[in-house]
Amino acid sequence: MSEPASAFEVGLAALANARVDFVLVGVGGINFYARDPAQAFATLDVDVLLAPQVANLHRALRALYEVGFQFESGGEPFVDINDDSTLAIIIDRGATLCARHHAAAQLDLMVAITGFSYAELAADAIRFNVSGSEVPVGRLGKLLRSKQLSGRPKDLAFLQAFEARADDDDAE
Amino acid sequence: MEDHLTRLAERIERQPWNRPGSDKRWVLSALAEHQKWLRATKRAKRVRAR
Repeated sequence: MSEPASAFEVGLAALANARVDFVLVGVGGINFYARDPAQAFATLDVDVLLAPQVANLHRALRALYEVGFQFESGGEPFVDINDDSTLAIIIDRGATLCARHHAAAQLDLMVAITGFSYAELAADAIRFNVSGSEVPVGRLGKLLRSKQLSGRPKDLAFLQAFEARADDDDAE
Repeated sequence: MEDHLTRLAERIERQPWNRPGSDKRWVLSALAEHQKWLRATKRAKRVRAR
């Protein structure tokens, strides 16, 4: 008997089923390229880059809400999921919405990341299978490059750790 | 560094476990387990050393 689906799986399946245009990015996306759990990096959430259109953001929020996610923006509850003018402001500002599930899953819904547009990432994303759903993940080179371009200390530290781990794997 | 990262990424993407359509459920299961572990450690009560 297979284990029950995690809230992460449920959320991503909901996005795929609702035909939301999205691609996974960040450390959560990079982990999809790991060989096994020992190779994956610890993270608290999965970064979901959405096509920056009001209708798409609305579809994403509705789909996640229906499977039990609730939303926050800037640490405050976000309840205007049907208010197109508010969603348009989120897109204009490139803001991130946090989607939380009571089972502790967190999806960060983003409409912009450093270095690449949604279209550039989606164009050649690799589609992996998660419990029967196709989940598009940004190409590894682009996800690493985005971290490099961000220049944030934590991202640069991550890149160092990533390279070191890859070198260790080569040595095995 | 950029070229090195690009080559590294291309090499990893060529691995058999990264073919399009590969089953990656384990990534999300591992993440969920990690979250459970974090919650459990937050709930754990500190005991005095003897």
